[in-house]
Amino acid sequence: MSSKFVTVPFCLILAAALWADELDLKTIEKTPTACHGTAVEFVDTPVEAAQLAKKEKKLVLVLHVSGYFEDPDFT
Amino acid sequence: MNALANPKVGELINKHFVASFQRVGSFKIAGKQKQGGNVATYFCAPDGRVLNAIAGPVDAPTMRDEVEWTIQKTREAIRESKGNADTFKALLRTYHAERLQEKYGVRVTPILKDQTMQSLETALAYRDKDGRKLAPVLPLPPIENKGEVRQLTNLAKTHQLLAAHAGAKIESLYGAVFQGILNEKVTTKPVQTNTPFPWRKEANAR
Repeated sequence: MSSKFVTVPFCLILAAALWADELDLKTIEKTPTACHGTAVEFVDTPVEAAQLAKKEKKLVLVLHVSGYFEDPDFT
Repeated sequence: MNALANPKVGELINKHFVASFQRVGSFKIAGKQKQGGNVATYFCAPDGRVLNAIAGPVDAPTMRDEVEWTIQKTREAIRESKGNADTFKALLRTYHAERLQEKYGVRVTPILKDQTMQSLETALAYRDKDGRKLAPVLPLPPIENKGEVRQLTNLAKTHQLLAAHAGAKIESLYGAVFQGILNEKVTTKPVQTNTPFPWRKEANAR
C-alpha cells in the first residue's frame, strides 16, 4: 500500500523530467552552415566541426586552401 | 564541374562528415592576374587525427572513391582495433600501404610505430619566411619496387605519406602535404578564413 504512494509520484516526476528534456532537445540551436558555392555544408572552424562531429558521431573533413587558382572549379 | 559541387559527393560528405576549412598560405591579389594556390582535403577523426587525405584538386569520382574508402576503412579499423589506439593507427597505415600497392603498384612497408623525427622540435621543419618552424618534415617509407614505378601522382604520394603517418594530428601533417607533396610554400600555420573560395562570387553569399 505504502509503495503506491512512492511509485506514483516518482513516475510523475520522471515523466515531467523527460518531457522537459524533450523540450530542451527541440530548442538546441542548429550550427549555422554555409556551402560557399559547393554541395558541402561548411561550419566556420575545425573546432566547431570537431565538436559537432563528436555529438553527431560523424567524422571531420578539413579543407586547407591557399592562394588563387587558375581554374576556379578546382576541386 | 568541381568535385565538392557535385550533389552526390556533397550528399555523401554531409551524411558522414562535418566539414570546415582553413587557410594555410598567404593570399596574393594582383588585379585580375592569375595566382598560384592549391587545396588539400583531410578526413579526420573528431580529435584531429588524420585518417586519409587528398593532396591537390581531384574530380568528383576520385573524391567520392576516397570518401567511401575512408569511411569503409575507418569502420574496419574501429572494429578490428577493439578500442586500442595504437592498433587503430597501425591498421590505418597498413590500409594505406595496401591501397598504394593495389591502386598504384607501389610497394612500401607501413611504419607502424611513431618515429621521434616527427616532432617540431627537431631540426627538419617547414618554416615561414622569418625562419619560424611551422610543421615538421616527415620521413616517407622507402619505395621497395622503385624500378617498376614511374612517377607518383599526388594521390599516391599521399598514401605513401599516410602509410607512415596516418593517425597523426593534422597540424603535424599539413606541412608534409602542402609543401612536401604539392610544392606549395606553407606561409602560416592554419588560420581561420571567411570563405574557402574568395574568387567565387556565389561563395561569398552566406
